[in-house]
Amino acid sequence: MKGATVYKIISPRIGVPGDEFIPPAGVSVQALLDGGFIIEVGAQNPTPKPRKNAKVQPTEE
Amino acid sequence: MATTTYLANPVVTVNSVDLTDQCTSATFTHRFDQLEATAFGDTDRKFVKGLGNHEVTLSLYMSYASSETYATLSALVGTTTTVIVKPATGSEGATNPGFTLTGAFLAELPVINATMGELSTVDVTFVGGVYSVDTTP
Repeated sequence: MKGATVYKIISPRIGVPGDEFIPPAGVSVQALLDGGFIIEVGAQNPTPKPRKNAKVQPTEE
Repeated sequence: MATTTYLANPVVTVNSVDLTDQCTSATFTHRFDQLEATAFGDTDRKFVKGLGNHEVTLSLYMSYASSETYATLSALVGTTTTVIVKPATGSEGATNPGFTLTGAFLAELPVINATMGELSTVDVTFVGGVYSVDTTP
């Protein structure tokens, strides 16, 4: 199960840069992401990364 | 004498972004539709309260730099957001109420308003949403 998304403040217009941003009610998080005010730093329970050697080898015909 | 002079104190926040230093004017109107309730036998018009129909109009300097006016507003056009205006800096209280419109709709944004020799400004109006007043410090 995926956890809640965590956001980090980038712009001092939002708060202290580097602090976690907890969106207040009614705030458009997408607009803040688009405007570069915050970034998504992942979920609290992130999905595991794919293995490095997971490349699909071409098959001979 | 009861007057209020605004020099540099009001605080304006749009979608959690502090735009105070870009704002030169803010008008926050708490309003309800007026529904006519006059009936036969009345000699004066009567009205009752209808739906809330609040709005906030802001005059802002237009800046296309990062984290400025355009970056704040461009992604909000056609969506709803929260706008907060309070008379002075510092925490909210009975003498410094935080007027809040939650779920206010931004229908349009003048993306450029250029006049030679003048700083570019835009007026934006947020309409609708739920009105509240935060007086909790």
